[in-house]
Amino acid sequence: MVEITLENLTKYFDSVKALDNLNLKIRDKELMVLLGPSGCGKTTTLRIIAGLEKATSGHVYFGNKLMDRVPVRERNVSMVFQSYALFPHMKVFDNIAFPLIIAKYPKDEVKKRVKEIAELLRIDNLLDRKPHQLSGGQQQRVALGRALIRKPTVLLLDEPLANLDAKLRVEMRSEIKRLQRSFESTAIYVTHDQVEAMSIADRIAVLNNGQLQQVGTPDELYHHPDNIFVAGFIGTPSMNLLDCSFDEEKSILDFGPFTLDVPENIKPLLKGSSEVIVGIRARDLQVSKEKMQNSIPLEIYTVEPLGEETIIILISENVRIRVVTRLEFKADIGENVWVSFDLNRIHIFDKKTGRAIL
Amino acid sequence: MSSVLKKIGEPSYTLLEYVVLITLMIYVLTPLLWLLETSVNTDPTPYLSIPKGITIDHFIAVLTNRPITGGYAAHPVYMTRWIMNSLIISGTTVIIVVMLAALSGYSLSRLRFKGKNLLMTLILLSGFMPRMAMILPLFKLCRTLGFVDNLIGIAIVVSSGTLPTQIWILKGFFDQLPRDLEEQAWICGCDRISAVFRVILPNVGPGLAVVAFMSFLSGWGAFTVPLILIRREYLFPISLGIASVFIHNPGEIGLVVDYGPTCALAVLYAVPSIALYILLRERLMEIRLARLEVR
Repeated sequence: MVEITLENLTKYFDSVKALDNLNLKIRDKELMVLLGPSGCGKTTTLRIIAGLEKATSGHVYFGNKLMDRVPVRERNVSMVFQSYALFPHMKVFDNIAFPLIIAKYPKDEVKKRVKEIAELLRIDNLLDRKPHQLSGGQQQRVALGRALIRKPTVLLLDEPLANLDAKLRVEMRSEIKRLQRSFESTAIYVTHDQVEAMSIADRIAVLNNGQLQQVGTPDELYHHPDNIFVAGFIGTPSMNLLDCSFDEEKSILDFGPFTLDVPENIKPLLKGSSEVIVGIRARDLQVSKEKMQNSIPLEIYTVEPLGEETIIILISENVRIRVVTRLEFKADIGENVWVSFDLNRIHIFDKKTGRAIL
Repeated sequence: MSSVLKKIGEPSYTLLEYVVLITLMIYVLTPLLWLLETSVNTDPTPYLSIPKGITIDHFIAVLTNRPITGGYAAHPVYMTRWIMNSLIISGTTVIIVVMLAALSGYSLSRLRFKGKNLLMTLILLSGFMPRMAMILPLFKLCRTLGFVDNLIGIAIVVSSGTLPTQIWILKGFFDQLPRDLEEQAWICGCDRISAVFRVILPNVGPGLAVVAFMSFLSGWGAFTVPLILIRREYLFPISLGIASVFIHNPGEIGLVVDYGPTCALAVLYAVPSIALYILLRERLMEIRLARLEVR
């Protein structure tokens, strides 16, 4: 129920830079995912917003209010830790009621609200248990209940699903999204799992080495990555990123073992650059046993059938390309096949800066 | 026949275990049994013997302050007073040590401040110092502070001796407790102090039990500190009281001692430690579990 602004946030742990001049606006009632590999600074960002960590420099605003000096307990944020951090000595009821008890709500009100939220999360039959008597999924629900009972202005989730098994994780992520909508909290969700991020987020902020890489909707990140890092991080299987050089005279992209003609519309964009990286998603490649237009010959390195579709890894000298085909396509390791590029769907990045040219 | 040969050929470890265990038990329990035997013997002697009859007279004598008669013995006895005194000293020690060790252990575990490492080293070192090494300045200091013939004063001095070790023990328990718990408490609206009382301390219960137990023992068993600081016999703790029975009698030491009540007092002296152990056993056993249970 508030807009969060992060302004020039920098955080050092001793001499290690964990966050590097982060600027980010999280809209009111939005579910923003902070996505990145471990050590990218996403949890640090979350902890700074919660007030558990002090930024070395920079500011945090909730709405127009500067939060830098506001103590944790006065921020009206809720947080779900990866470990859930349920209080082991308290029953489930007391765990969920804890924020209200601290805020000195009247007993009847506490009872009523715990009951409501427990029913909502389908844990109303567990209220008399201790946390260690619960399964991982149930503990997770209790942690969520405790976080939501106060109707927090800001809901922070730090890898909340990391300790659950795969099936439960899928189930819970849609539930979290639904809950966040109905409680109208501004939510920040930290994860390293891009599939989770894509499925749950209104917008995603990708972080790497403490630096913001790109902010956007899942669609934007998938279809228009700003740089090589985002291109490689988002999407399963990850995007093929191929080193090549642009020959302006011949108007070709030279990959070493093969070349591709550059379409007219792309040529002006490539002007002046010589070393580039071409990115193409495995689903934007077509593989066939016969030669097609704009196709190149490659050898099959491995075949991974996944049920609906098959991932084939192709190789030619030092170039490796991942292709997704339909299951009907049968081929054996070592066989030679033809691959055609959909040139309208390729991404081109400057090799030096890593930035997207196309 | 063959089974006997087999037993000789492959000595049973079970047998060996029992032999070792029984030897150990004899080693540990002989003095205790001796004490118990004398305390219920109708005709107590300083020697281990089969009692001719069993009586609880000696215990009654102790608990009713009947004067110890042993030949010419004519010195005043305050047996029940001594028991009370010991309880006051150890009770106060428990309160002081648990409170201070919990606060200091928490601070050393969680807070960041300058000179923390130096402070921790000093605490550890002071725990290693033998009390007798500091006895002279300690005595002068206690006299200035009015701790002579003062049971609370004794408790304060005894606490200062055991506190360093207890701080370290509790710091270990705090270190094991995940920081998430505390941070979650803050997020739920607790300030630092209420988080400690509502979330941290309830979860180091076994640690507090250990510290309470050990500080009780150090107060209950204190001998040198009261020996130096207490002059009046009615302020003696049991430890001094038992000793005084031997020392104060005229004639040859020990020969005129009324062994029955003395041993009965000694048995009573041992009871609270054992009772406390039984009471806290479950919590003491939890220590290992607490280490394993991460969540």
